[in-house]
Amino acid sequence: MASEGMRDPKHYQLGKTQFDPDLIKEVEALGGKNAQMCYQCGTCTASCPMGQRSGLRVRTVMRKANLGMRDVLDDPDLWLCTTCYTCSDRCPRRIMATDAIIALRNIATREKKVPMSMIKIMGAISKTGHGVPNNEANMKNRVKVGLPENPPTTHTYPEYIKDINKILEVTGLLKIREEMEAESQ
Amino acid sequence: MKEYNFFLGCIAPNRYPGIEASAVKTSRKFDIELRDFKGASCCPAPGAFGSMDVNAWLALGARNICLSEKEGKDIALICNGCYKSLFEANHRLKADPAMREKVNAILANIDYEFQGSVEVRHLIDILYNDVGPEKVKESVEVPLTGLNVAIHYGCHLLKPKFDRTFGSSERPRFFDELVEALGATSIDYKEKMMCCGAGGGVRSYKMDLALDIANEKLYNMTQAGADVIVDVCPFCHLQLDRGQVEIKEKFGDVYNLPVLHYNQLLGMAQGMNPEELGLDAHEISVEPLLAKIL
Repeated sequence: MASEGMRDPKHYQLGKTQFDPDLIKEVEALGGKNAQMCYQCGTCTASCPMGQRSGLRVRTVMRKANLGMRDVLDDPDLWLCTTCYTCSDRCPRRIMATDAIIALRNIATREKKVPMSMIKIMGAISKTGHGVPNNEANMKNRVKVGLPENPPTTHTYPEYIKDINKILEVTGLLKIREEMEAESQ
Repeated sequence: MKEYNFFLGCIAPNRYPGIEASAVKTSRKFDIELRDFKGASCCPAPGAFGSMDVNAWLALGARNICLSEKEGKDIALICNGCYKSLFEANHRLKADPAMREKVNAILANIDYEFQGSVEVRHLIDILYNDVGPEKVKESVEVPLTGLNVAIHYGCHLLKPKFDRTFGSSERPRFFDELVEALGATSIDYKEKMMCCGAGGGVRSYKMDLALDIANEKLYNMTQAGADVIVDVCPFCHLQLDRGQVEIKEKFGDVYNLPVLHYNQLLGMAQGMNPEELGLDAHEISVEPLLAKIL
């Protein structure tokens, strides 16, 4: 019945937009603490260095997350936040808007909506233990300042890399990477 | 003598080894030994890994912390990104038993367990709070008098403030005090606390926008008469140093403003030569700076 549907927010739909009341709960569970407390003052958007030069609007992201508008996960601007945390430090409701954005990115990643640039960094860590691995020019520069060619990290002790991959495997990230790499080829 | 396991991260050892070398050498003057930290990896990069999966990010960070726990050593590091990953993982897992349980369940797959038995410190925190500006000043052999320094704190050193120990992220002073202890002048400039633009995975996702933020910072620093930018984060360092080359190519703006990590500036003040500080590995020449102070 239509009236019951309106009372049950899970069935709420306006035009083509679906409203998912679980989205904001998921955001809070993934670290976006107190995200439901947002009263839309806009301090976040006003403080955002990226918002001044792009389409990223933190207040809009917060509103969409609270309304359960899952299309926020498809917005390429979601990935423009530099995670500077200025909005979070200035929020009068003490909401970690940056962490809410990170939580939304986590959900988008599970839906394989993560940019390939992120997947590439995972690939580098998976292979070498480093997001930014060493190279030959740098090895020479290391020696010049009296350091060994490779740092005493996984570069010197690659036997530790298998533990990193195990963590990627059990958290499901390895599978996401493999599938997205296969699809992009 | 206080010993720390020296967590290197990626960009210092793999792009700017002078930052790594200068941290070790300058710390010895204060009886601090930064020892090899065997088997450490990427922190992992908070912008990329935190964005993909916060639990994987915490677990990979905790793996690094666990390695140090096994050796009973506190961790010192020189990068704000590493600081975000490891300080927050350490802090949150100590404070939140449910989160610790969740992460330890992941770590059980590699037979690791987070104990919460060590501290994670940024070297700038150790220099300010343990060594102190007075002792830093006493170590100076070549005072950097007349040098105008544009300090870049970097975001993740200070923010989020509820997850840090430095207090206000709007008008901090401790880094300025450490620069002034070397005889240099910390200049004020517009939007001093603004981000470098590189974080959150943005530099690899949309470089033009990341550089547009850096360009604004560089412009503001230049307008205020900066001779040098000083940072405490190799990723900000890369964005502001190599970024100047990219900004010149993409937007045609030229600054030629040298960029130093604080440990390199401290090394210069302690009388080390530019070669041992790895300054020749920088994209932007430090010659004008050397001419001014030596």
